[in-house]
Amino acid sequence: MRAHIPSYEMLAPKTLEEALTRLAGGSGEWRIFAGGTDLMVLLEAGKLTHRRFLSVWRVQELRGITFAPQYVTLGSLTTYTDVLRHEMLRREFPLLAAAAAETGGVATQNRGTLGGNIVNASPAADSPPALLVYDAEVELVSTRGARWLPLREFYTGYKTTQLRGDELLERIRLPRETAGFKPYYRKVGTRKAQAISKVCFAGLRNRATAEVRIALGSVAPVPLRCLKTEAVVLQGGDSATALAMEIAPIDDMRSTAAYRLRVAQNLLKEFLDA
Amino acid sequence: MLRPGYTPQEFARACAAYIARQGPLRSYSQYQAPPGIFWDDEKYQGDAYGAFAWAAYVAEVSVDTLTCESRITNFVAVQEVGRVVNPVLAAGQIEGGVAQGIGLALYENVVWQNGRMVNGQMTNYIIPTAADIPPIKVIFEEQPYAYGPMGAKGIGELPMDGPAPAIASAIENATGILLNSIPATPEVLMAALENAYA
Amino acid sequence: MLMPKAAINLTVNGAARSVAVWPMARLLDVIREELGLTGTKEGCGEGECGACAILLDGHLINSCLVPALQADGAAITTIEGIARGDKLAPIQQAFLECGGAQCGICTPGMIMAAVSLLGENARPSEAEIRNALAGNLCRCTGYMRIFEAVARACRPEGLQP
Repeated sequence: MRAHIPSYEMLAPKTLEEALTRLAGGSGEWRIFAGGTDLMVLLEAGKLTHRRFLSVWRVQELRGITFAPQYVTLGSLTTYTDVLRHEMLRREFPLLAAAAAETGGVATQNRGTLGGNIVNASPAADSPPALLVYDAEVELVSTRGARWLPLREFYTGYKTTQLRGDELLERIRLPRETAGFKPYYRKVGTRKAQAISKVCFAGLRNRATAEVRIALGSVAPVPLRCLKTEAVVLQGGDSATALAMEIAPIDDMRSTAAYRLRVAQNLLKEFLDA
Repeated sequence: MLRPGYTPQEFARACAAYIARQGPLRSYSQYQAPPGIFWDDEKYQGDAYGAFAWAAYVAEVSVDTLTCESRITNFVAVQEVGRVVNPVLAAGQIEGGVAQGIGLALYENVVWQNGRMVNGQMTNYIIPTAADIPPIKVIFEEQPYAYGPMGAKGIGELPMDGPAPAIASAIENATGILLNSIPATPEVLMAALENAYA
Repeated sequence: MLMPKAAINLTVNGAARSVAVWPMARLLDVIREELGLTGTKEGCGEGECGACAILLDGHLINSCLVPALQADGAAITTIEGIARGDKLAPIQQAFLECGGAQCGICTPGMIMAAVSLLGENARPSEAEIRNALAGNLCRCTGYMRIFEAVARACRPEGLQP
């Protein structure tokens, strides 16, 4: 454990308003801390450079899963366990449940949150590909107000997002329009559990309405919704080549660019052939 | 003081009674190599060991053709160890060693950069989880070794030796590719398959 | 810079405790050093191995990943809280009988994961046991006897697929 613990400060606001007031001013003095499954790893490695955190774990306004006619809305503190236990969410949004089941082990699932996962912005995260094909939107709030943003636009580059220094991700919403779509989710990792993905593929296809949605993780600096490949699929073109041109896999400690590309293409084919 | 079939509690009581009556008990013994076993440590010649334990391992592997991931679906480990002294511990040792051998065969890639290992953490040095290990069936044969304690030979390192060759052979059986290095990662297998069928 | 310690109150294995902690001290260290309960182990210090697993408000979590401040007002159960005095819980007895522990470093976390599983699923299948324990790494046993121990603790017929 490499951090100098006494130099870290943490407050625990009880309400969303209290948290936003602290964040206000936008100087970035305080940062949000949710389940800790990413930030504590950085702390233990001696790599958590920021020192002042607001724990929102007990802010009840950030919890809850609500079904309305048009949308399902999830509080940003929704954990993977919350997703797996919600029968209606699992039925209507099976890719999200599949992603939650692939994330870490039970202990991680009990503490990791969708909001934290999105804001951490790792390109290898398991949930964003599912959220992207579900056309998820995120609500960013501050003392200045609230704004909804498509998740697709939230990521601006490797581990960078639209989140401003005084903002907090409050809710995620998914349009309830999945009827008729056949779901496909596959994560290829270094082992069957507790693995960071080498390639992560989420797809939805509705042959009746000629719609297809494809998103991948771990093959670009951001979780990637592959709109160009979708267009080629609908035109009946060479989707494998389109995918190769749209993604940008790299060599790293876990895998190689060549492997990732081939697997992504193989999963695309399996998805389309189904 | 003790009759055959004594319990641990009876043994403890007998020890205490002995010491109370006779004072401390001291016993001296010295290892004597079994007759007929000669080892020349200077020339590294002769019989290094009095006996060898033997094993046969069978791995059943399923290779995913989309991802080149190898999954062990079944594993049988048969060993002849002279005498099984503690069946639970002996089988546990084999199962653990087989799991380590599976890690060696499929997962445990050591990544070097400038002479340093860069994946020395549990997150990036990949050992098998409970989700990765197949059912492991362990069978013992016993041909007691005259000079081993109660006829036992050794068992410690044995289960590490067999799994990786068995798994590599199973992968060859499935794909036609005999890899000459381990771990047989999906990346290595995929490159070999593409080469072979190019 | 040195932040002052703050007092947190938590219930530990049923007993009310109050400790002074730095807010972002790892709960693992609070458990081992402030509370003196060394049954919970550090295996990796990065939330990967599960050796530090405990129950926090009934949920299985890795205590190396929880800052102390977030445990304020919580009820935690550590491995020391599983036995009833001298009487081992069925899962612990099963581990003994099946040889579920070799070096023992993963064992406290494994048992907490098993307790968490059995609390929600009284008769898990082998697949369910594997899934529930997938976040607890073991290097010694090859997992087989751990699965058997969990099954034996709850099913007279033993491990079922």
